[in-house]
This record gives sequence, structure tokens and C-alpha cells, in this order.
Amino acid sequence: MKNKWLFIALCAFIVSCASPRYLPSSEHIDINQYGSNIKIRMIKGSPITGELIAIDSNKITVLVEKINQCKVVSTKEMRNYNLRFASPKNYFWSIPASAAITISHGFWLLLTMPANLIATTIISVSSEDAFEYSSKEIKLEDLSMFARFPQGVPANLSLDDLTNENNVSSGKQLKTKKKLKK
Amino acid sequence: MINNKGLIYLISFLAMGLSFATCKAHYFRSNYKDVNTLMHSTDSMKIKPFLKAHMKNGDICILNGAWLIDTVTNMVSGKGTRYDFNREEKYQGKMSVPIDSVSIFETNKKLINPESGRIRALSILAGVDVAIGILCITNPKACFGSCPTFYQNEMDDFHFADAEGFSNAILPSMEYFDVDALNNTPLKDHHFSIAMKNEALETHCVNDVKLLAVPRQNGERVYQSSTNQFYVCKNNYAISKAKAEEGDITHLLDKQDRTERFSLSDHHDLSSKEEIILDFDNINDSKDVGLVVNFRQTMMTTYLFYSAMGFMGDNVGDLFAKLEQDKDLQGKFDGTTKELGGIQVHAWNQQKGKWVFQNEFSETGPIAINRQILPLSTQSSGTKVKLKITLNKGLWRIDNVFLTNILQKVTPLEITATSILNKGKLDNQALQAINNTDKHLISMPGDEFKFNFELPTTSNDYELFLYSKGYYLEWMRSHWIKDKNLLKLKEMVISPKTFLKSEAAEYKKYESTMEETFWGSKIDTKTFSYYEK
Repeated sequence: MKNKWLFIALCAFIVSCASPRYLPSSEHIDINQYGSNIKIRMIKGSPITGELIAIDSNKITVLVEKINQCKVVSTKEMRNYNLRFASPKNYFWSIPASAAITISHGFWLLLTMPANLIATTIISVSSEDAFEYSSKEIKLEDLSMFARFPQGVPANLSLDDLTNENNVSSGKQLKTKKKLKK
Repeated sequence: MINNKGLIYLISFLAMGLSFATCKAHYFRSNYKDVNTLMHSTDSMKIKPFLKAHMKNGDICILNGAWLIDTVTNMVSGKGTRYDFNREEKYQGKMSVPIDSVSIFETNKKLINPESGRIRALSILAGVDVAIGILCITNPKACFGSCPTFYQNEMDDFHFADAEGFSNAILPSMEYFDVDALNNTPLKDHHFSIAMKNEALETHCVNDVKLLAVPRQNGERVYQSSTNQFYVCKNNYAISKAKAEEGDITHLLDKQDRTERFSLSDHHDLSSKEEIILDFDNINDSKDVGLVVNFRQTMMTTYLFYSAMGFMGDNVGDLFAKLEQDKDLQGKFDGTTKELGGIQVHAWNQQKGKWVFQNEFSETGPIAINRQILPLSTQSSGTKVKLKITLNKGLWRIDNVFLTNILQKVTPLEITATSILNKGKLDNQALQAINNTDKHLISMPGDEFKFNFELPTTSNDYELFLYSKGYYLEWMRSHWIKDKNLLKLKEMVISPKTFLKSEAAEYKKYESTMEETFWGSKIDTKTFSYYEK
């Protein structure tokens, strides 16, 4: 039973670590056209996650992934944030693989399996935030460098027009908007 | 030296260190609001970075490294891609962009091998795993344990097993009982538990597990002989000097600290013998002296047993069936063990001027340390005792040797289990099987049973011994079948001495590394609670 819950927790953790498709791999950060992914935890209310569109001294604009619409958040209402600028490599496969290989170790397994599990878990978890800054690591004023519009939202644009076709749940809404334009 | 937990931490910290070694590249990205700063910053670069021009209308132009800035026409030109405000591609190819239409320029430094630390850590881990795997596949005898292991502290691993039961009982007909000293600390109450684990690829058929208890007073210890006689003893006389082929080994034998003395086997003959001379110079009471030795075997007997299994190949079933029915053959099958022998003890008789054989210690198994006593028949009249122990090279690991005074021979109380827990849950079927002499408790790999005992309240403290009876069936591994060699098996059974000579080189191939690596990673940080008076 304990193992079952551990397995479920591990699966949930792996799923929660999935990166949005618009984030580039670490090799392609210089040619990516989108803003970075930001997760903002609010003083009150649920966290907001999405593409960082723009930032100025008192507000942040985020294209929220779930609804594929922009949301403007006052910086005063924010508790903290995490910014991810590239997709991490997934090393979680190494946890079961390294545990499985120790079967061939005989009774050394009692030593090598926990060592392997600890080592691969550390490697996997460390890879998850390798391309991520926390609010302690990057100042609010430097966040603009990672926005889709580092210059701020252009005056000619309406936030309602902004979309991201690589958002996980964006496909359906994008088509709706295109139909409306026609 | 490092212990097991130390090794786990070492590997983990290595992984952590390598994982974080490359980690986060801070501020690889730069924004420029004016073109002059951009030009100055990128001029000195041998390879120009990709340039992102964030346009005032929300578009973005991403130019590859061949971009140019023309300050006369005030244009930036190059090859690249233009995306609209929603980042849909608008154009790809050569382009020229008026600088006036650009809000911000952006450049990015390439992240150099951001995954190298993690890949290096995984590679090292995989390398170590594969090496151990190859070692175990080529020398399976060294990696797979045998017989049930018992633990007073169920959280301990096999390095700290308190007992291992019936190591030689590889067939139902070879079932026997085994008694092991638990070397327990003074008891706090009258409840006592011991965990039995199956940590090998074997089926354990356990007929009986019970405690043998002898009441003890403060300052007394009870020791068991190799023939299962029990002696209440007092006083410990530490060794004054111990000498072996390699020189002075006193520091290895004078304390019960798991720093063991062992030698490597002979290159040419696995049954070569060696001697250790022991001097005790401070015997206050020379009457009824017994020699107590803490010892266990190296991996040699395990290796030989698995060799025999391998030599049987796909005939293993037939041969074991034959072995089960033929008592004479059983005796011969054990020929190599007999040839290797036990730890023989001789005492120096000053009057006769010669060594006099006393008896021998013997117990199969490389995991749990045995503690046994051997009453000396040659009594010394003075304060000095000189002993010689003769043992097979590379077969025995000796932790501690001391003399003690035997007060009396006793018969221990037999205590049966009151309950058995199977992975934490009460298992009445297991209890019935253990309490019924016709039944066996079956324990499969990974199984763990906890036996609970209630000790009589007539004494506050007892010296405890574990009685275990049963047999086990070794699981044949598929890769062993390739080792089939019936001629070798025949040699092993009919002429064990010749076999031990011919197998010496093969055993030598892995002995030193395997023994040192496997056992060298223990002790030191473990706090022993065993007490000595």
C-alpha cells in the first residue's frame, strides 16, 4: 500500500513537472520567440501560471495557460514567483531504471539500490529547476528581459488579441478567435 | 574506513555535486535600448550571437549571427525570421529592419553544456552499476547470500546480522538445528523480539525458531561451545600478543570492534593452512580457562557452494534429487568443507615442551559473527598461556580473541515464540507452523518475520542464544547453467583436495577486490551496544 502511494506521488510529481510547449530547450533559448513561463503566487487567491507578456513597475501581464487569455496582476498582490526560461531535461526515467539494474547486484542490492534511488532522485529533481529563477534569484525589474514584450505591451495591441497557440489548452479557443476575426 | 550509510551518502553527494555543478547560468540575456551599446558589446565577440529585435508594433525579428548594423542608413540587416505579436511566423529570409522601428534589442549567450554535470553523474552511476553487475554475473557466488538472517534490531542490514541459521542445510534431508549466540545487552524487560529475513534468492523452510536463555548475574557471561555446551564465565583476559605470517596482529584481535583479521587464499591451493600464535600474559586465575573467539567465514565457502551448483548446470534437479536420497553422497558433497576444516586450537605445554591439540571452532556462514568458547584441557599453572590456532588461509575472519574463567556448565531454558508478525501484521499461521514440529514456515525472498518472546520473570537478565532449525532451497540462476561441468563436479566430490588446488586460480581472480570492497565498507560509525566486563 505504501509503495502504491509512493508510486502515485511520483507520477503526480512527474506530471506536475511537465513544461509548456512554448518553452525552448536550453540550446534554443536565443531563437525562441515567446516569453518565459512564470508562476506567480498571490498573497490572496490561487497562483497564476502562464507566459510572461510584459512587466512594468507596478503590474505584470501574464497570458494564462488554462484560459489562454491575458491577466494583469498588481505587483503588490504578489507573494513570490518562479520564472522558467527553458524546458528541463527529464531524468525521471533514470529512477526506475537505476533501481532495476541493481537486481543484478545480488545482496549488494541492499546497498546499491538506496544509493541509486537517492542519486537519481537528486539528479532528476535538480534538473527540474535548472532553468528556473525564483523571486530570490531575479529581481522584479530584471523580469522584463524574459517577457514576450520586454519593451512593454505595444500601444497598438489589445490584450484580448494576444494568444499562444502552444498553450496546453489553447487549441479550441484559438480557433474560436480566428472564426470571430473572419 | 567508511560504512554503508557513508557510501550511500557519498554517492548521493557526488550526484548532488555534479548535478548542481553546471546549474543556473545567471544573466545570459542582455537587453539594449540603443544601438550603440549593442554594437560596443558585441564588437569584441568572435562569434556574434543571434539578435532579437523587439519591434515597436509587437513583432519580433530574430536574426542569425551574420547580422549587420548600418549606421548610415540606420538599418539592421541579416538573415532570419519575423514573427507577429502572437508569434506566428510572417517572413523568413533576408531582411532589413529600420532601427527606429525597434524598441529593444536582445542577445543571449549560449548556455554551454548545461546538462553536463547531471549526465556525468548518471554516467558514473551507470558505470559503477554495470561494473558491479558484471562482477556479480561473472562471479555470482560472491553476490548472493545464503540462509535466513536474524536481527535484534530489525532495521539493521546484513552487515550487522546477529545470527544466520542452518547454512549447510541445502536439502530437506540435510535439515539441522543451529545455535547462535546473540551477544545481547542487559535486558530492560522480559519481552524480546528478533526479526528473521530472507535476503537471498532462496526458499527458506523454517521448522523451528526459539530462544535458549541462561540467567546471568552482573559480571557474568555465558558462552557456547561448537558442540552446543553452555558455560557461565567470569573475567576476561585480553590478548597480550598475536602474531601471524604478516606480523603483529594484536591490534586486530584484542577488541570486539569488527576490525577483523583475515588473510587471502593461497595462489596454488585453496586448502593451504596458516598459523597464528597467541600469548596471554596476565591470567590472574589459571583454573578452568576457556578461549573465546569471535569469528565468521569469508566468501570462500559460498563461492564453492555456488560453484557446485553451477557445475551441475541443467542437471541440478536430478542431482539434488539423488543427493536427497543418498546419505553417502551427501557426506561426499560436503568434502571440500571438510577439507578446509575449522579453526584448530593447540596449547603450549611447558612441561612436555610441545603443542597439545585442544579442539576446534567451526560454523559455516560469512554474514553473522559467531562467538564461541573452547574449554582448554591443558591447564597452565602460572599467569601465562600460549596458544596456536591453525586455520585455512583465506577462509576465516577473526574479530576478537580472549580467555575467560569457566564457572560452570549449564543447561539453557527453551523459550518458544508467543507471537509472530509478518511484515508488521500478526501471523497466527506462521506461529502454528513454528510450534508444530511437522510443519515448516516458508519464507520467500524479501519476507520478514518478527518473533516475539516472553522471558521468565525468575531472573532480571539472561544471556540469549538463537535456536533455528530448517533447510533452504537455493534458486538456480539461468547464467549458472552455462557453467555446467560434471567432470569438475565429480572432482569436487571424489577428490576435494585436488579440486581445491585446481580452483585456486579461479577463486583468486575476484577474491581480493570482492572481499575488500564488500566487507571494507562497514563498521566504524556503527555504535555497538555490546558490553564487555
